[in-house]
Amino acid sequence: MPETHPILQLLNQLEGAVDMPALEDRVNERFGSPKIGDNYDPLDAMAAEEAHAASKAAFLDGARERLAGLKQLIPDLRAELEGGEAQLSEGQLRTLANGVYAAGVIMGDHILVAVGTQLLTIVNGGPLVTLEVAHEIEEQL
Amino acid sequence: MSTATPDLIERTETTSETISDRPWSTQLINDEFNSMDYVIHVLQEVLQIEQSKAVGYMLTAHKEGKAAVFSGGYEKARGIAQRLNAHMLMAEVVKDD
Repeated sequence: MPETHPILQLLNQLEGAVDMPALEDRVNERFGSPKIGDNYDPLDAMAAEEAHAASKAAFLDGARERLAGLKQLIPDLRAELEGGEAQLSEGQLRTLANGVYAAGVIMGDHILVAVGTQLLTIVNGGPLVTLEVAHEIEEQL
Repeated sequence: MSTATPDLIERTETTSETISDRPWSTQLINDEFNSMDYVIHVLQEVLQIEQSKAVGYMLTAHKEGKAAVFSGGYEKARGIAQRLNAHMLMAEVVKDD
């Protein structure tokens, strides 16, 4: 029995993440209601509500864009991998990195987030933070 | 359905004009999903700040649940929050005390 390529396994898993109605539910759940403080007069409360709605829409748009890019990429990538290997352009790699990362955040899957972060490292041409900063973070935690 | 758009525009303009000079802040909210290095990377990109400052904001949010990354006008606070949100971070706009 042929062994399934790990990237193909990942793609199969990711196809479930690009379900848009589920995405909207997850984002709504995560954003909850706007926080209106006691010091808010009615106009401030209205402004806070508007900002909250705008934030949620921006998050949803960002997620949709990343997942839609991934969805478009998956069939081509799968076909290439089934043929033996895949050559990704820089743009395709960026789409894959952003899509995998977004899918991880949306699904709450830490492994996907870690894979997405590693792919972003490749796209970025190096680590997202320096080793020195990583040590600084470690010391402060 | 078609009457909703003019109402929304009018409401947004009124709000912007009335509250523009009051202090607001953009708060980065801690979440269990984004990686620390990614948060630092996005903060640097959106806020155009040094890595050490971005680390400070990320650590504050991680330890205290939130970090104020901008304070000033409502429109700018909202714009920054939206840009952070578009990068999958959790951010919200609140009125300063």
